[in-house]
Amino acid sequence: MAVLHRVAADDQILLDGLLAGDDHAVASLCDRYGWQVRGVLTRTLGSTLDVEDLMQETFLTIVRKCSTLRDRKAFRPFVVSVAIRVARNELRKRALRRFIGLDVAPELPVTPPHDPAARQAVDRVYEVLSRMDADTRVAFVARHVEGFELTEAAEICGCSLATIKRRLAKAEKCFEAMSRGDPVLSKLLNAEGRRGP
Amino acid sequence: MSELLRRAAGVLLRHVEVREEDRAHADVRARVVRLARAERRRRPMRMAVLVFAPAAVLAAVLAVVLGRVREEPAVAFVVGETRAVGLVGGYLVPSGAASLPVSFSDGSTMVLMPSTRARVTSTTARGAQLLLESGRVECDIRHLPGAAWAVSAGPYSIDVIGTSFDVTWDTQRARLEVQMRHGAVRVRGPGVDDGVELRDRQRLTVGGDATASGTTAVPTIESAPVGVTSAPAATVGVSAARSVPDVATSPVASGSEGSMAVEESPTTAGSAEVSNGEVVSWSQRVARGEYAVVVSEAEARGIDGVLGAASMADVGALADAARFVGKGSLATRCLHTLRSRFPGTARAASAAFVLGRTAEDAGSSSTALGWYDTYLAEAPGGPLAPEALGRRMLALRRMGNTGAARQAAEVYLRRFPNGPYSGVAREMTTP
Repeated sequence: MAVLHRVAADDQILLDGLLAGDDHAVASLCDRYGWQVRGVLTRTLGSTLDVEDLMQETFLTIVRKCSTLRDRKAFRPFVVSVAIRVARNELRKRALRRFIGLDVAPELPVTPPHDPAARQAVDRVYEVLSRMDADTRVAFVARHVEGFELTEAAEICGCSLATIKRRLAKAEKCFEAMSRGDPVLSKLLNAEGRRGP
Repeated sequence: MSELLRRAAGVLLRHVEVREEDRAHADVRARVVRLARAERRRRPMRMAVLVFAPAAVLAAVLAVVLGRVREEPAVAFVVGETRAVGLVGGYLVPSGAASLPVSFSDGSTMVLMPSTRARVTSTTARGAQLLLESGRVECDIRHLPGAAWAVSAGPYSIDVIGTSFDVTWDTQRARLEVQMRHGAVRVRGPGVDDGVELRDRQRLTVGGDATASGTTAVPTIESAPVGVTSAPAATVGVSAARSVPDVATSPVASGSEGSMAVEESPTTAGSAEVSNGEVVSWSQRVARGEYAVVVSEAEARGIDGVLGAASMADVGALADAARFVGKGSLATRCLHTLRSRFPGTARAASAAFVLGRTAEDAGSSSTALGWYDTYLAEAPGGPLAPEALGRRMLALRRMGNTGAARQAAEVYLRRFPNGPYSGVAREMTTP
């Protein structure tokens, strides 16, 4: 409770604490953004493998780099951008490990658990994502999974507006191509469309 | 927005489960706090290196040029009764039931007990490093100027200046025991991250099951004559215990009031105050990630007594600590105590939020929903309001109450358009 109670009233106070080197602020950062960072990493990677280590890397990078934050009001996008960059680096490493046959990922937990339809849908979407390069994949996550506006997504991914649009178009083409050749995927995405948010 | 991409994202948002396990979270949090603190400490040192390195290089060059550098030979060592010449990196394994003495050229000795495996991994003019892979070694290190000896055992390191002590490393249980005979050593490793100094006749035990299960190791330091095994143990908050003074046999008052382990260790007359008098509250310990220490202290004192009499801050800290070491029922008791003993306070409201989280972890969305509503009613503008509203929204969605979930998402976006759940909330409100 002491820690929860110490959670700063807003990100500005949290940022001030981080800049001042306050341990409580570091702990609050982990408490406040732990779930979100875990979500970004898990959904981007499609795996829970080493997720705690990657969270640690994300939070330490935030602590180190928070002094470079230009817009103090954009702390949340900053946190997400660090998580996404950590995930992108990990995707590249995993691609290499997969190439040399060392990558073994545990099954990603789905909800509802033991629902074959949910499992199938998640597996098919990640199958498409696995065909994309890391930059395209994180562009898709930033824009559509995390729900950032185009300009924010571009900043998070460290690219220009034109580039993020190009990457998203590439992601869309990838889904279209895979859907055309995979009736099951096509059906799943249509069903998702009917279901709505 | 591309419809196809939106649908694919919808699959991930709807079906990928992001589990937030308390123990894993606590572990990450403790590691990040510790590493960030260590980095901050290293920064001034790095600056000093940058400033003084050129001068040091110049001095070294001058010394070489002037022929003042004379390389002193590293200490040599012989092994066993036959005094066979020891090799750096070679295994030292006593045969059968006999012990194996290792004698160094400076007069220091190490005796490996039966079934021990160790290696001398390096030697310098000032000492040597022993890697104790398993078993027990008795060390008698000569106190010479500039001596630098070290014993490593698993993740622990023991820095020695000049002293006699015994080290036991239990590989199976990942448990280290250091028994001092005289002199002083400093031990570092998991559970003793900042290092703990041991002096005459003290015994440190650290690691064991707690470390193996991934929680913070709880070090204990006993002050007892060598050979006495039933002496009372003083659990010492390690980051506070930078120096544990010379203590004669010291019974520990286990039932005293207060939240500090160190302050409730009255020692016999003449003994100094443990941990240099630094007062460490449970809240501070929790902030440092020393969860297991807090829980074990509370258990030693008696949970009923603590919950009935401890301050609001201590009960709150104990609730956090219990959650982070996976003692859910203890955490829940603490949270209910906060609500019943301190109603109307911010902590009582926060307890409602955490009870909601606990219910969520247990899979009860409806109970969680009730607690989140309680929090929001008691602290509508509280620091946890964005979390409570966001989690309330997701709980409603999990319960299949789509309409209410959508309304909750709209409320969320109105209040926290850039909040941590705004992405999900937008998805839920997009027609």
